[in-house]
Amino acid sequence: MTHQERNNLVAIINSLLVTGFFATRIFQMYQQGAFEGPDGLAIWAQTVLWIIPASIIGSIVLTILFNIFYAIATNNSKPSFVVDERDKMLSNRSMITTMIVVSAGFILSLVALAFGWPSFVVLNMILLSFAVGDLIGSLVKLVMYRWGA
Amino acid sequence: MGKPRIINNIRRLRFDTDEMTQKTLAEKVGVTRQTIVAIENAKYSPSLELAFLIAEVFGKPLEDVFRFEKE
Repeated sequence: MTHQERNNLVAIINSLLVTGFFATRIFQMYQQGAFEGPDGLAIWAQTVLWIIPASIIGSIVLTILFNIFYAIATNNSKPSFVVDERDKMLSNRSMITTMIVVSAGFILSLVALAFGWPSFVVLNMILLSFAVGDLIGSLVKLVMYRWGA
Repeated sequence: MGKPRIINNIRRLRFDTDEMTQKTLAEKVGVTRQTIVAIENAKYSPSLELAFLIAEVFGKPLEDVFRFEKE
């Protein structure tokens, strides 16, 4: 497994954990009525902003742990960190996939808003499209690494 | 018209060159071993620069290492 493949796997796990945690947290807050009232969207935004540092910290911790376990499992104390042209090509294709999914999610959100859906729901649709786009991009990259581009 | 693809003789050339490993070839041309595996299995087409570097390792012209054909 190359360095980039390991990073990609960590990205998938991190994305699932962070998205899962914050989706649960937002849903619980919604059920408790935290987003009702004039400050509801501001409280939602404050909750969502915590995703950024959580993702960064989660990524760092998971990368360190994963590389330690990988080095132990493969009995290789000096793993390679080479990033070559194939890694860059697969990263570009993954990014294109992510952009397509995010764009589609954003357009769907605009359509929902045009049909009178609540702004709270639409904002969560946009947030979800970013999370799903990121996850699908990473999964596409995983498939391309394993079965060829 | 069939889909064109690039096939190669890298595996045979490695064997003929003192049984060079994929890892050694990868280090000589500056890529990962997995990229060499993908190239040998025709799952990845290298850039022109990488193709020339691989041919130079074996001391062969480019057309002796890579071949373009339509399926």
